[in-house]
Amino acid sequence: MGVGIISWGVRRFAPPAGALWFLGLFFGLGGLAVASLGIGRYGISASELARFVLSLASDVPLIEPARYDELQNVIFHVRLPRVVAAILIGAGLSASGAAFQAMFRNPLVSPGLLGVLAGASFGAAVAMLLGDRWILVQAGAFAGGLVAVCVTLGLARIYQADSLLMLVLGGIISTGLFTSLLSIVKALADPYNQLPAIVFWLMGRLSAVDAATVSALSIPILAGIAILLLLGKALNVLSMGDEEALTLGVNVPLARGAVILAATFVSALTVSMAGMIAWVGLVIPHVARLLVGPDNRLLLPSSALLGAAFLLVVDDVARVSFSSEIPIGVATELIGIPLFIAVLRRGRAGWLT
Amino acid sequence: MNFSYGTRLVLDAVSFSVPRGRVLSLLGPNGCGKSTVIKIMLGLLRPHGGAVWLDGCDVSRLSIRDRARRMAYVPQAHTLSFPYRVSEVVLMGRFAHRRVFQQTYSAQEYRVVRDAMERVGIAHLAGRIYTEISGGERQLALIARALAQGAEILVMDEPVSGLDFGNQWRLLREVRALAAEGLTVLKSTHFPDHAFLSSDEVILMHEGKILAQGRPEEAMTKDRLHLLYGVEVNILTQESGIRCCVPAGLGNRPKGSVR
Repeated sequence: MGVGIISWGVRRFAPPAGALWFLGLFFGLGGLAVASLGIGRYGISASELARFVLSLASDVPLIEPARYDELQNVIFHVRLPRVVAAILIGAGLSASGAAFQAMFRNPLVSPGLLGVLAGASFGAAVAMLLGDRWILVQAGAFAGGLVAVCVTLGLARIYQADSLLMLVLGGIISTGLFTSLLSIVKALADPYNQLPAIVFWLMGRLSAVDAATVSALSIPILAGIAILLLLGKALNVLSMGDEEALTLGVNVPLARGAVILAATFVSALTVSMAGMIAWVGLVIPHVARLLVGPDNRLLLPSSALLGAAFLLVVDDVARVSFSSEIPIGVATELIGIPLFIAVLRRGRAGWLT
Repeated sequence: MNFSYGTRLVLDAVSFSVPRGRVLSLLGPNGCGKSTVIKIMLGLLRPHGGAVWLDGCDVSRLSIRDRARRMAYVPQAHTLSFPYRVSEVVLMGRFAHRRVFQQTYSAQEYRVVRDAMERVGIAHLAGRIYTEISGGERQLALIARALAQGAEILVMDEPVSGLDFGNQWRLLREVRALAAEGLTVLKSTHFPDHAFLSSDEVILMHEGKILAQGRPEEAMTKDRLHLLYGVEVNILTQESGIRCCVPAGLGNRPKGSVR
């Protein structure tokens, strides 16, 4: 849907390579998603997957019924929610990261800058102390993330400065506060059951994602991403600096508020879905900028697609490479760090000059 | 208008008007309130008393978008964190002319952008990276952006700072040419010579007040410049009629101070 509009808009100035990359990412992600349905402990071959999809679509049984039921179970209850979750989380974190980098005019910013991740960790940990219900943990993570960002905004407001610097300082304070609160919760937690649960949750995992969660959270996450994409043009102007943006016609407080709200909302939802998934929101926008350039109208959607593809691949690797699954948050770190180093080497075309 | 930061009064009863199609220079030492005047003009700061009137309407009552369509700001050439193309930077001047959420610009908008770049002679830079061109070229790109904005008033904050000698004069010539086309230009400057050369009118500011206002030849006298900058100056008139101002103290330096 967005493809035609965006490539039309940039055709005169952006290198065609940028728009081509976007298209490539779009179809690449589609292919990866289908392939990921087949990858895992329970092997499904490509032809079997194709026959399954065909019989699903046409009502003509191409697979024997027992096997069909098995496949249906695996694909619909295990693989599909996981694939969709990886796409949503990867896209959400990357789009938020790219939007924050443009708004703070700093390419080292990640979605956690304003404390949303620290707050979400704390909220989830508290919920785990209180009970064993998964829905409670998700709600706790989401609420914690929002509260932490509110603390940041409140601090920036106390100092009566509408400046980015105050927001960053507020974010540092808020992150510090919620990190130390998390430590208190860990210290109080029962070391045999609760503490390991908290620690594992903090590493992030996609294996626990169920179909109900994914279907409930997909609409709000997609809506948040859509808002960020719609702000792409305004983000371009915002990245020139607040005063210039105002004189160019951007309502800076409003635009900034919308970016913070949407990015916080999306990030908190991803955490409540699968815990902490590090590095995606920092590294992926860099890679995307190398591919399509800094114009946020193209960069934001490309970041989202690339982030989704990245998390899918990492999850596939984490799923099959070892006998016990590596937590996805750890896997993104292990893969994200060398990627970041490589990107910084090529940084000149990205943002360093 | 008046303005204060906290309890410090920065502007005290500053009042002036700029006729359409003229170039007005604000001249004064560091800290005299030039930048504050510019920020108030642009609506970035609210005066604590008084108002800025634009064709009979109060600037602070205009919406941000309407203000951007009528007044364009040319900041000092800066570097950015992100390597936009020159054309992308100039295109940002069209922001106020499109709906906020509309991500594309029309072919006509691209024409405006191209015309603006041609106007200041940087069309050949369109595809270059803004962070990789020279300071003078960046300044021209920002002027092109302001022209693309389609405003009738250009506000420039020390537009020549950081430019080399040749670029300074080329830029001032450009400013004159724009005014000749009907644009109104308000600029602040550190150089009396530039005010002589490029302005129809000057305002000398001193400690938040207007010391003098008028045509450069009349307003800028030896004594006033001495008061402003604390430096003895001579004003010379060249054969072409152009005036320039040189420090007078160099000849009387005590012996032995420079070897």
